[in-house]
Amino acid sequence: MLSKIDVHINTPMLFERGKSYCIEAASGVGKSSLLHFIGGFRTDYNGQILLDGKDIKTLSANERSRLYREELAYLFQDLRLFPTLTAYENVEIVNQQTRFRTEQQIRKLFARLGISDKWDAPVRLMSWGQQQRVAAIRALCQPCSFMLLDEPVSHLDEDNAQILGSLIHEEQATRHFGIIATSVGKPLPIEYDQTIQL
Amino acid sequence: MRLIWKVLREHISISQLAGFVLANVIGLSIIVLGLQLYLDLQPILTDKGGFMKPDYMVVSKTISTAGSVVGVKPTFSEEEISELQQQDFVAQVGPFTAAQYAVVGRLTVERFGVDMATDMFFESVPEQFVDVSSERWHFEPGDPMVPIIIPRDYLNLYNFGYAPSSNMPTISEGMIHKVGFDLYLSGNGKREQLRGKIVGFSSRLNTILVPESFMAWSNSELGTGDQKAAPSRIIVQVTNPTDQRIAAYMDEHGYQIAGDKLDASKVSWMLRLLVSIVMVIGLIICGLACYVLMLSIFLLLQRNKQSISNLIAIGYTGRKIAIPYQLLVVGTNLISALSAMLILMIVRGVYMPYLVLLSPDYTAGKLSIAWLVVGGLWIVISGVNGWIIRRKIG
Repeated sequence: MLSKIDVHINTPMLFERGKSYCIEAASGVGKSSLLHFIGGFRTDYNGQILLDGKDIKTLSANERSRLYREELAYLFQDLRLFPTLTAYENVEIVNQQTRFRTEQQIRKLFARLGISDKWDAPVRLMSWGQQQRVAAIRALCQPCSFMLLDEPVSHLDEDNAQILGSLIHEEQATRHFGIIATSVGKPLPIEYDQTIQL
Repeated sequence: MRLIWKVLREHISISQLAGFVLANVIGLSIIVLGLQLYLDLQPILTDKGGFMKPDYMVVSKTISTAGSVVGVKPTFSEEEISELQQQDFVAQVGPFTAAQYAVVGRLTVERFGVDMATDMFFESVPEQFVDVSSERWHFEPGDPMVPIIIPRDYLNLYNFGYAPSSNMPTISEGMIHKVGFDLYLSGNGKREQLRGKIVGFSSRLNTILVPESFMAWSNSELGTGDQKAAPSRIIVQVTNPTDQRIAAYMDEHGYQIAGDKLDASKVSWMLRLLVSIVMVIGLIICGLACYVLMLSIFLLLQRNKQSISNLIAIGYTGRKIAIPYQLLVVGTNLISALSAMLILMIVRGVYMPYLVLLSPDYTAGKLSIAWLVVGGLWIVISGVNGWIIRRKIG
């Protein structure tokens, strides 16, 4: 299990498992880039990002796949859903790799976030806010040591933002993963151990 | 796998795949048809029952004008015979032995007032080369009767050439067997009178043939020259008359072969050349078809780049992502391969009756080799395609 992430790019940052971090900055400062660096999706930076002491740039393709499957759950700002799949299929395509959730549990998550009626709807026909909830459920349906949330409630109303905050907090309480969430003035409503201003 | 396929099948162009299948079917069909045609024709060229069956060839040296003037004898030395014997395509070699004395044949039928005589010559070859089996083909010194074999062409020449134009009766082989004639042999100051009888007709040997034992006895009694004179003609049994090396060897050594016996070799060589050209064309078409398929797949990967990137971001390995595309090319290639075999079987059904007509004892070439080739090509093409896809996805 991944326990800490050391970021040595400009300002050193340390993220520990079980704690919550909020990264705040204005648009265009580099919040999303930082999450992409931590996730290893981008490598165009000077410095090092160490996952339990191991430079993420040195991971093999298979190690990286395992990292995405079992250690890092990612809610992308651009969601990265598959437009040809239904809402449920977009969740199942992640869940089928580890069988982390049962279908019943997934249905409960859909119900909590108020999109039960969109279960079989193609995501391309859903609003951005609904798609953001599907992407959040997808992130909750994989085992992880850290959850990387890139502006997770940017398109949610207050009620749904609160529900998602509660859901993630409950999951964190039982699974003890770390949370690294970015915000541009509308943070995920949970308690943070540290807020980092970029 | 179902969901991955649902994601990745987007942007697949059915028309591009159909174009590939069509081109690949054409290429594969040309390859297997060329191969199968060659395999089906090969028995006709090599089988004893085929129309090109000469596995015996009578070889002599080319007589040049200069050689005739100078008086060079066109005979085979022991070294030349030995060298020929050592060639891979040669099963056995036998020299023609010529009589070293004068022979006159005389036929007298007093009842009809027939009395005619002619100069003749005798030759002999080792017994295993004689294609006539007769109980009477036997001679021992002291026997009054000399068995003789003449070319079947002589009888045909008389029956179908001379007899009709001269109002003479035709003669059957059975009648000839019953006619005996006198032989007058003279040489070395001695004379011998014997009876001769035609005991058979040869399609292989174009000479007047007597048993080897008779030739040995008569040459020792009446021979005027060297008992071991070098032969001017030799008979060669070849292992495979379609072997292209035969014609090349004979040309190189200035030997000539009686009749059209080298035709099988030449036809076989031409057939192999044509089949090779056809198969190369087929391979080029297949190669181009595969290139088009790979371009289509690359285009598909490019169009699905975002989906592939998203699958990697949620933990899928490149190997798992490649599987649907690999199955696609394996399936597409399988359809092409089976279609090519179907076309082969249909075309074969059309031409086989004609091959059977050419040779009644015809046994068709095996279809299993075409299956093996098409199966091998399917594995190789699919393997290369699959490997390129895997590398492209990374």
